[in-house]
Amino acid sequence: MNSMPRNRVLFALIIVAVAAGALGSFVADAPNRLVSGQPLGLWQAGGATTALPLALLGAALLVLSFARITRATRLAGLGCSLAALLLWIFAAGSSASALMAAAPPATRIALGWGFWATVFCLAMIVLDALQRLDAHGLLRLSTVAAIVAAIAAMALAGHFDGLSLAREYAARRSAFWSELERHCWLVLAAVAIALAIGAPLGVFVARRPSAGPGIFGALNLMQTIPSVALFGLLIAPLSALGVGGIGAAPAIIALVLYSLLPIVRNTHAGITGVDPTVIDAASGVGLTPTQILWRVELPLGLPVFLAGLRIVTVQAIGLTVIAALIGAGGLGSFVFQGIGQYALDLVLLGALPTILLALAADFALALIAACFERNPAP
Amino acid sequence: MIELRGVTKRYGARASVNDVSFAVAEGAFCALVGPSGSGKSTTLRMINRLIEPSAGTIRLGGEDVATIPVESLRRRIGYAIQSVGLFPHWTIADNIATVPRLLKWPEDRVRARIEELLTLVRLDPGAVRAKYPHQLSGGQQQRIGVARALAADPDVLLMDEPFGALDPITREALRLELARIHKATGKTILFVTHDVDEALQMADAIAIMRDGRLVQFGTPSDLLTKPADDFVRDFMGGSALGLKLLALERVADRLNPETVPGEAPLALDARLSEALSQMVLRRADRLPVSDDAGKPVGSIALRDLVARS
Amino acid sequence: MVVASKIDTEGALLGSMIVALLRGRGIAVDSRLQLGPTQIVRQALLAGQIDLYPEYTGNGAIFFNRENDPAWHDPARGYVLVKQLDRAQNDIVWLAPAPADNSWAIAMRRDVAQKHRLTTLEDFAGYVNGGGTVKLAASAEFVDSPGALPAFESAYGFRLARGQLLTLVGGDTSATLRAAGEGISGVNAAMAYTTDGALAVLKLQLLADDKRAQTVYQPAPIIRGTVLAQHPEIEAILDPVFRSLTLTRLQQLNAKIAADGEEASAVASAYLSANGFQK
Repeated sequence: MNSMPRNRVLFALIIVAVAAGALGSFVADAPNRLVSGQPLGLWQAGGATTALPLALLGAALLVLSFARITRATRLAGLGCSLAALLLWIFAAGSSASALMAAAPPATRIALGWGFWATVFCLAMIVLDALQRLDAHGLLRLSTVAAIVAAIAAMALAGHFDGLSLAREYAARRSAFWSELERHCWLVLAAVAIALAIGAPLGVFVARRPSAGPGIFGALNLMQTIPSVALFGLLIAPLSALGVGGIGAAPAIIALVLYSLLPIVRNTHAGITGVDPTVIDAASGVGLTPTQILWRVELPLGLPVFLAGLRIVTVQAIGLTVIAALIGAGGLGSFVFQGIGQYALDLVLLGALPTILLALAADFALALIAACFERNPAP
Repeated sequence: MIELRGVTKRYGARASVNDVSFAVAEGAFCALVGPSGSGKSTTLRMINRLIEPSAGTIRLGGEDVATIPVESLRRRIGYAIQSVGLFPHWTIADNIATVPRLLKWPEDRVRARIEELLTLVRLDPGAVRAKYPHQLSGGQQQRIGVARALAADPDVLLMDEPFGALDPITREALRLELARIHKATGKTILFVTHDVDEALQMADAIAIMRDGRLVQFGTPSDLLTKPADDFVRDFMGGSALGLKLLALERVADRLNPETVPGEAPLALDARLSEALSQMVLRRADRLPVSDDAGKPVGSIALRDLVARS
Repeated sequence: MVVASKIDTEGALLGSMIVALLRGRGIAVDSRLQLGPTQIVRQALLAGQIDLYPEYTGNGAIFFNRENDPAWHDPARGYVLVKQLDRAQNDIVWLAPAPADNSWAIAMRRDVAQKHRLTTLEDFAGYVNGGGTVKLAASAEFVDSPGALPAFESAYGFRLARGQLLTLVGGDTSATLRAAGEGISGVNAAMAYTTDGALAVLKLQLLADDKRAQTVYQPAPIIRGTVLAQHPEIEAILDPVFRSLTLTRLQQLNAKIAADGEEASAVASAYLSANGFQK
């Protein structure tokens, strides 16, 4: 065996992971929701049973970073890091439950920075292992799916109920689901309207390039306005017009305005990116301009257009968080309530689902885009 | 069939096509040649109104093309270009079926036509029909381009340097194909090229352009033997004019009935230029000729090549 | 009808009580609690998009541009004034207020207050002028607004120097109280609301405002006149409940939500049942 680690990335990551896990705060134990918790390490937090297997896995990964890089060692690396990640997360749930069992109900057990740092490092190790295995899409997808499924299974079984995040959720269960639903409706409405306005506008600019600088200039300007300001600015004129919806109307309008630029730009790029000789041949064989648009330009421009749709959807999911500031509801409600009450778990209750929603939307749209890629042209 | 009268196209002060007039007879293969920038592509594209002329008239089968609705005009004309321009997101079959479907042909007629055309351009329908353009070679794509142009059985084909982007072997093969198809279908073809030899090989009539003007219009033989000016002479081959003239005729035209012994006889349809080339290679001034069956039918001598016809 | 509230903890509490009471009497209620900050909720009421929400009497000064009217320092006069103005100008009816006065205040770490025997703001002024160590965490609004810190300073005769202030962006007391409670950056005093639930838990003590430097902010349900006309029984339903909410009671209820993390509607329902307002 070499004296220098062969896999330096793995070596660095596992060192940081072990350090953060051992020395950093795994959980923070607070007597109530308002004060900071006392930091506790894994073994202090009742994680004795999981500490040993975790230490063994950590040692195995450390050894593997020195080992010769073969397919076998890479697979072993993937397996160990997956196991470590899931076990680490499992340990968080167990410790929280153990600590809560012996404590008054107002106690809050929050995840500490050490926990998050180690999760991050272990996730990076898993990604690195997939990369080195040159894993094709199916293996990557299965790995991610396995992790998500395992965590979901633990959550559904109530394993994480001791954590403060779960307590915040429990106190607001119905509100959570209704705000989540409202959030999704806001995003869908905004994206649908932006599509209805932006796609024809993109076709128009593709057909009439002279209009381009003006339209793109205006849309670019719109993007530079800070979102909070735009949301606020719209309330007055809209209430003067008598448009109701307590915040939903100005929120959707602002979201549409922000979503227009990527849609217009990508529709335009999709159409103008079509090979001009194909358009020439299409004209030459007798297709009308409308037929060329619908049968040639739009289908060939679809991949670029879908890329724009993906960007817009992810952006809208994030921006809709701000909409809660003007009474539109959505997951942002929890974020701002949490900020107001200095309850970071409440902020997480709003922020984590938003991130997961954005990742899921991005993944779904990428999948749809890939379906269209399979057919035509290089 | 195609008649251009005083056709002009101006871009600003410059005229890229200047007062061009010529006529292509029905069933003729006319080549439009000239150096780059001579306006030959522009002229071609005014016939199917991809470019609108600034002045002059163009008639197709006696009708002024300006009076025909532009899409129905183009659906009556076959159009093939150098970059082929197949629709990358459609199968080969769908590409070929473009104009027939625009003309609302019944689906079974379309299907039959696709089979017919693929066979005509010598591609295996079963193998190729469901493929996408990017899965075919350049030469195969251009065959499909020709098939698409022929799909709705137009009387006229406009072709803009269709073989320009291919390697010499494929180009030669496709030229022979096109000549064969022309002979079999009797369509009127207007073929733009900058390659003189290609024009000489395929065309019944050649229009040679320079700087937007038509310099000479005539048969290949006319252009070779009676070039209108030095430009035409140089363009047609300069000092090699004589050799190109030889390429226009075949052994059968100058066959000498006297037979001579020898191996590897020439074929009856071999070109005189090939005969000359063989004479040089074999260092013989007389070569045997046989027919398709291999039976000796005569000979050809160096003397025959230079004799007045 | 639509019942809303402001985004803070007390808004959630009072709003939940209103929703529970009205639904308990068979009135169909669409709940839009924790809608947003004051401006948003007030605008929504004026525009008719919501029908009822709990507001504070002292805010009449801002709504009607009468910051300097001395009536706001007196609970009874303030309530009468805002009730009259809102009825006349906007057809909005102010129902019975709670006796609790939820105004701005200064809270100090209990250990420091006990050591120097500070119970009122007068004591505090003496302590500051005598050179005592003070670091006050407050929002920019509290520091600048003439009705807040400057009002205290002029009424009690003290002045806090820049170095004695830790100014935070945003108007919520949770951050300031937490700073004082945990002694972050040497903070030992904090801007607070008198009904804050976190005071006891964080071991902070309110300094009494004997001279009434502060505007009185009593919570009361406000409802659009047309909606009240359709449901005149609402007044009788809500009055006794609001009248029962003393300062101490509000502090305890707020603490259950903010510190213990109980759900606002659960705390509201428990209070209503325990005091016989609802089964």
